[in-house]
Amino acid sequence: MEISRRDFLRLLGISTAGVAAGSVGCNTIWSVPDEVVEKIGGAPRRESWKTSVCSLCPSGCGIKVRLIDGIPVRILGNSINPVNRNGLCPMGETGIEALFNPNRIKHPLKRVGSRGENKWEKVSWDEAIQSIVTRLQSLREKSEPHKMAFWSSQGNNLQSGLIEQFTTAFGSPNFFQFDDNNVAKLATRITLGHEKQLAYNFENIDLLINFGGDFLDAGPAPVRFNQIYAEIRNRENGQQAKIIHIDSRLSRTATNSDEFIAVKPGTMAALALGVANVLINDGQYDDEFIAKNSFGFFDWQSKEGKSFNGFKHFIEREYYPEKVAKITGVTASQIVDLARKLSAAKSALVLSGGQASASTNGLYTSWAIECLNALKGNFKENSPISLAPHPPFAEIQEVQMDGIATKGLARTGLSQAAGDFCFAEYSVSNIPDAISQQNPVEILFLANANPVFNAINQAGFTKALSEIPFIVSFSSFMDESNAFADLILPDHVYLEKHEIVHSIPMIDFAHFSVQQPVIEPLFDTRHPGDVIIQIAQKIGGTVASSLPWVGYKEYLQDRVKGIYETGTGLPFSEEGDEKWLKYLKERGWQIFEFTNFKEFWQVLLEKGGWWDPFPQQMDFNNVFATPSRKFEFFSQLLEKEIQSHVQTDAISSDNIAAVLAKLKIAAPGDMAFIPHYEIPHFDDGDGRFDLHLLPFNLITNVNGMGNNMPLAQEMFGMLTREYWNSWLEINPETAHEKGISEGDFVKVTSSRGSLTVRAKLLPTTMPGTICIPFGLGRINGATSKRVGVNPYSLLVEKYDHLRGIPSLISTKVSVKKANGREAV
Amino acid sequence: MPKWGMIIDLNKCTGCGDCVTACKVENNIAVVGQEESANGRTMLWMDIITTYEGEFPNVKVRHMPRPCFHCEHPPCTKVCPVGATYLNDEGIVAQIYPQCIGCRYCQVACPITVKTFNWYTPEWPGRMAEACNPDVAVRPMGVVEKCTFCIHRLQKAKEQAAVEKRELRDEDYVPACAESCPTRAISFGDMGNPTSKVSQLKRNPRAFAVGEDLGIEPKVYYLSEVE
Repeated sequence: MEISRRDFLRLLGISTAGVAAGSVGCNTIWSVPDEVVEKIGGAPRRESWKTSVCSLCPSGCGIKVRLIDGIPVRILGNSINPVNRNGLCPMGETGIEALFNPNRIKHPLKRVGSRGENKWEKVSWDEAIQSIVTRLQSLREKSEPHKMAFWSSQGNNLQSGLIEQFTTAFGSPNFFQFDDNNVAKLATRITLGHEKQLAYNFENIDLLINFGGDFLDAGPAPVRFNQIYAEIRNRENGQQAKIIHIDSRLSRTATNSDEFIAVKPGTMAALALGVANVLINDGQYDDEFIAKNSFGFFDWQSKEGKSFNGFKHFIEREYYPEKVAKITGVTASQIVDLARKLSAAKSALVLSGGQASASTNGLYTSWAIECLNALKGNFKENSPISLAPHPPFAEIQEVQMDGIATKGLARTGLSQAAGDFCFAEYSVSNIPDAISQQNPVEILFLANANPVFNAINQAGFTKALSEIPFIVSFSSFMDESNAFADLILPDHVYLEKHEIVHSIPMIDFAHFSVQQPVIEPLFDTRHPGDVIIQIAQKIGGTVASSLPWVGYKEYLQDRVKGIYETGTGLPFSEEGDEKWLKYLKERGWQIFEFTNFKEFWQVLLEKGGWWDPFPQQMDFNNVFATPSRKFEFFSQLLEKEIQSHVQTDAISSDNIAAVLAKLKIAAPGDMAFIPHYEIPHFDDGDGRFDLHLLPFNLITNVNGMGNNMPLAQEMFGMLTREYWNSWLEINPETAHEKGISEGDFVKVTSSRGSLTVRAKLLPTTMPGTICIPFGLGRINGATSKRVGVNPYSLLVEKYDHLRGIPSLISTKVSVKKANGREAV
Repeated sequence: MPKWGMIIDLNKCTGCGDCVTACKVENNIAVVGQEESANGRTMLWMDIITTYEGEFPNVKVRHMPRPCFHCEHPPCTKVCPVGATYLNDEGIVAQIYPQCIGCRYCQVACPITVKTFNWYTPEWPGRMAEACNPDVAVRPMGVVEKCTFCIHRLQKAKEQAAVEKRELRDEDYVPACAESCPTRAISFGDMGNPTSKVSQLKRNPRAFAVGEDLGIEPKVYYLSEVE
C-alpha cells in the first residue's frame, strides 16, 4: 500500500467530510488505506464486538474482537473470561495479521512437483476428498487400517476427541498428539497413579517455590501466570507471598521472583531431595499426612516378607546438604535456608516445569520435586493443590468398530513401539524409525503438527515424511512439514471457525471457552472437523455411523448439551458478580435458567464460554489411584512396569539390574523405585563440546506459532532489542574466555550441526551455558529470507530415560567467533 | 481542564510486552521489516527498557515500559519550526502529521528518545491494510510520530459523553497500553483532579519520575519495585 503525501491530504479531506456527515467517534485527522475507504464509502463505520478464543498457542485466552463494518481491526482480552481476565499476550495482539496474511493457503492444493519443490496445483474439495476416501477404503479392504496415522497438536480442544473417534472407528492406533502437556501427564501417573492433572490455587499461599517452570514466557498459560505473579506480589491485604525460583537461566519468570537459586543443568532432583533431607532432619514435615496417606516413607516390609528401606532412610543417607552442594552448585547453607523457608511457610506451594522435566532424568526430577509438596502435606483438603476439574461434556457416542477396526487397533502404535522406555505412550523417539522400518505408514494426516520444525530429531522426521506415500495436511499456511504433503486441505484461521477450548492446565475450576467465527471465511477453506466427518461418511459402514454429525458445529453442540442438561456452572459473567453468585448458589438458587439449548448456546457465544466457579471440595482419599491408594515415595507402579520388562525380555527376575541398565537407569536395585538423582546424560560429541545449550521460549512467539504474523516477528526479542532475529545469550565471563564480544557473529556447533547467530553478553546466563530462543528459523514467505535460527536443528536425540519425552537441555555445543563468510 | 497522566507500577509489571504490541496494533504503527529493523529503525511508541545490574546469579533485571512522558515543559515542541508538535490544553503533547516537515529536530531534542521517524511509506502486505484501525491516521513517509496517549480515544470518549449529555468520566478514556496490560500495572487518568486514582497513586511514596531534574515535568510516573 502506498500513500503519498498528496494522497494523505486527499484522504484527510474525505475523512473529515465523513466526520461532518455525522460519523461519531473519530479523530479529525484520521485516514485509512485506500481499500478500506473504498469498502466503507460513506458508510456509518459501525462498531461491533464479538467474543472468541485465541488459538495461536494452546493456553486458550478468551478474546473479544472489535469489528468495524464487519472487519476485525483489534483483538482484546475478554474481560469476563476467567482464564485470562482481560489480559492478552503480545502474540495474541497480532492475530488479525494471520487472518489477512497474503501467504495463506486459499484453496485445496495438490502437489505436482517433487517433494520439497513447493509446486502445487489447485484442486476442488470434492476431488481432494474423493482421492483420500479411495485410498482409505483400499487400506480397509486390505485389512490394514493401522497404516493410517494422524498427528495433531494442542490437546485441550474438542477436535482431538473427534479425531480419536475417527481413527478408532477406522482402526488405527496411530493418533498422536505433539502436546506439551504429555510431560505432565506421566508425572502424575507416578505420584497419583492416573493422568488427571493437578491444579493450583495461589490465593492464600505465602511461599511459591518454582523449580524451573518458565511460566511467564512459555506454557501452559502465560497470560494467566503473568497475572498470578503480579497478584501474589501485590495483594491488597498486604500479605505478599514470596517467590523463589530455581533454574539454570535467569528467565523472565526468575527475574520476576524474589529470590533466584542457580543450579547446574539437570541437577534439580538433587536439590529437591537435599531440601527434603533438611526437612526430614528438622522433623518439619506433615506427620499426619505421611502416616496416613503415604507409602514407602518409613522402612517397610512387602507381603512376601522382604524388607525395604524407606524414602526417609534413603534421603538421610544420600542427600545431606554438603553432598547436594557438590552436585548442584548450590551452597549447603542456601539449601538449608531454602528448606527452612519452606518449613516456616504457612501455606507453601512447590511447582516444577521447564528445565526440571527437560533433562534425561526428567520424570525422577518431577517426582522428587512433588515429594516436597507431599512432605508439606499439600495433598489434602483445603491445600493449594487440587485435581483439575473438567467440564461435564456429553460423552461422544460409543465408537462402533467392525472386524477390520478391531484388528487394526490391536496392533502396536508407532510411539508404543519404543521398547527402551518404561512409559512409551507419549514418546516421539521411535516414531521416525518405526515409520521407516517395522511399521510403515501409508497415509498420514497432519493437523497443526509440524515435527520437522519443532521436534527433536529433525533429520529423522524429514526422512520419515519423505518415505510416507501419501500425506494430507490441514494447515492454513505453508510450513516445513506440509512441504512434504501430497494434498493440502487448508483450515480456516482461528478467527473464522468454531471450536471449544477447555481445561487449560493448572487451573482449579472447570471451564471452557467458545470460539466462533468473527468473520466469514475469506477463502475457500474448510474446518478439518467438517472434512473428517465428510470423509467418514463417504467411507461408510461403522466409520460413518460412529461419526453421525452433519458438521463439526453439530458435534460441538452435542458435546455441550451434556453441560446444559446437568445444569452445573454458568456462562461467564461480569467480574464482581462472582461473590454474589456464590452467595445465591450456596442458598440453593438456580442462577441461570434457559428455556432451551439454543438459548444457552446463544448466551455462550455472547459471553465467550462457561465455567463452574464453585468447585467441589476434593476428597483426596479418592484421588490416589496408585497400587497403595496413597502418595507413593516408593513407586509400586514403576516397580510393576520394570518387572513387566523383566518378563518380556525373559531375564531372570533377580536380574533386575540388566533391565535397569537397558533402560539406562543408573540407580542400583530398589533405589530405582524411589525418587532420586540420576546423573543426567549430555551429548558432548565425545568431549568436543563444552557449553550447555539451554534453549527457551518467548511469549512473543511460543514454539514458532507467531511466524505467520509480521508484527509478532518484529516484536520477537523486544526486551533484548533483537527484532526479526534470533540471538545467543552468553555470560560475559564465558564470552571473554571464548574471545567473543557483544554483537559478534558466533558459530555454534553441536553433534547435529551448526548455525551462526549474533551474541548478546548477558549476566542472566549461567557461566558455561548458552541460551538461544525457540521460535524463529523459518523462511519468510514475503522475502524468501531466513528469519533467525532454529535451535531444534542443534538438538541431539536425547530422551527422558523413563518416558521417551524429548530432553531439550541435553545437548552440549561449542562456540567460536564466526569468520566473515560464515557471518553472512 | 484535565491534565492526563499515567502511572506505571513496576512492582506489577512483569515485562511481558503486551503494552508494546497493543500500542503498535491500535495506532497502525508500521512494521518496518527485517532489514530496516536491523538498521535500528523499528518503530515503537511504547517501548520496554530492560536494565541488568550485578553478576550471575545475583542479577537484578528491571523492565520499564516507556511511553511518551507528555512533559509539561516539552523540549520537543520548542524546537519544532512549523508548530507540528505542541502541548495541548489537556496536557497531551500532540502531533499534527500533515504539518510535519520531517526535520527531526524534535527527535533530537527529546531527552527520553520517544520520537520515531517514518523513513519509508508504511506497507501492509496483501489485505492486511484492511485490519488497520480506522480511528488512527496512517502516517506517510517523512513524518515524525510518537505516543499520543491514544488521543483518538479521548476524542471518541468526549463525543460519546456529549451525546449522552454528561461530563467526561475518568474511566471513559484509557489508552490501549493501559487497557490491555494483563497485570493492570498501568493506570491512566486526570492528574489535575486530586481525587483521581492517578493523583492518589502519584502521592504514593514509591512514586518517582524520570527526567524531573531536566525540568521537563513529565506526566508519566513510575511506582518503584518493592525490594
